[in-house]
Amino acid sequence: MNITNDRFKIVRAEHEGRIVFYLQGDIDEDAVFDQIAQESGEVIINWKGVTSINSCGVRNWVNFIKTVADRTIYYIECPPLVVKQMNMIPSFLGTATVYSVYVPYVCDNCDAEKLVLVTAEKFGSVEETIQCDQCQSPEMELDGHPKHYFTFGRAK
Amino acid sequence: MLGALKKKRPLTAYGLFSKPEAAEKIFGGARHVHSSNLGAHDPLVQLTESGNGLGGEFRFPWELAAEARYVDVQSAEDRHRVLKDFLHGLGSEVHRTFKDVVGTVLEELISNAIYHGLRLENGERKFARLQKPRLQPSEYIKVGTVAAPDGVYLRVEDSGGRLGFDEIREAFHRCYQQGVDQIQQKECGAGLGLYMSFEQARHLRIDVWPGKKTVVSCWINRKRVPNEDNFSFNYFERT
Repeated sequence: MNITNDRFKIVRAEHEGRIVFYLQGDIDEDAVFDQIAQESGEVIINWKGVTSINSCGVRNWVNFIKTVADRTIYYIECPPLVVKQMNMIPSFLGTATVYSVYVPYVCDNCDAEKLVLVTAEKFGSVEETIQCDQCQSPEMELDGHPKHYFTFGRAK
Repeated sequence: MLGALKKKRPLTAYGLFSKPEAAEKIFGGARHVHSSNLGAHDPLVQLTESGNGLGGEFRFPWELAAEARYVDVQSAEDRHRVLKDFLHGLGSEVHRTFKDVVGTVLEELISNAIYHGLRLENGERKFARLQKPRLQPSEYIKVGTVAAPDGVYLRVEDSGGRLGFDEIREAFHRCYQQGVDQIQQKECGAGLGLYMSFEQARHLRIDVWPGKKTVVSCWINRKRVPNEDNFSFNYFERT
């Protein structure tokens, strides 16, 4: 584990024979990603544990990702806040391939919230409404504009 | 005469725009952009026009300054506390994705005030981003927030008064170009944070009293709205 500051850390773990870097916490001006560059081969970034990214964090990441642009990079389990950054700032994605993202749904009936993990082959055909697990309403809607949520895919 | 007219750029732009189109209007010199299908009949356009030449303050309907709860930010470390308190205060029933948006925008506005609003007299940056400064007794940053049922109102006031229109128009232009220049290599500038705030807010207003104070306020909708292209940007330079 590499603790870069008290609000952000990177956990390196082996998953099915591949090295995955789990980013956890707040990515801001203090976040350092050098540990990832030290590993050779493909780079797999798991974003699930990221809780916030500010503009300086974006800048840090964009500058870092350029240094490993010659390697194969995958983004997995991107939460909505990371998807938002990829949509607003294309260079946040750089040369990476997005393997999976969480799609947020909210229920109009009971206000429940749910994140559904969607893999790349379904990016173009994601359901706009699903059934709510909590109240069984069929009107659990994608929280956001469906046409905008996967903008990063079109930018590639 | 014709040359003079050509050179004069419109201060107010109205119509139905996307955010990138609005950014181009701003780059072209528009200090007020109102996007809706009402055109010149948009009440916000009329309010802007009526208040444009005035030195005093006036309010758009989305501004809830009178109802806001205010806290002072004394240092860079303080902003984490302010953010945490406000997001916690929104309650557990508020969706995580909405909290993420509000948290991002509020942090950007406060950070901009600390690192870009408060500058040296010659306009140079006072604090580097990796510094964790405390404000001087003569400086202040005041954060006002209102959590309404349909959205959130944020207001950040600093005692700098240094946020120039040219800085904003160039930053928006650069960020919306979506190219490699979107992220400048230099240390964090004010532009990216403002761009991120503009992207996520429905209304953004900046009032600058040069050398005295800057007030940046915005409204963020809680839920998806039928017409996403209804938004506004306003920059007022006050005397």
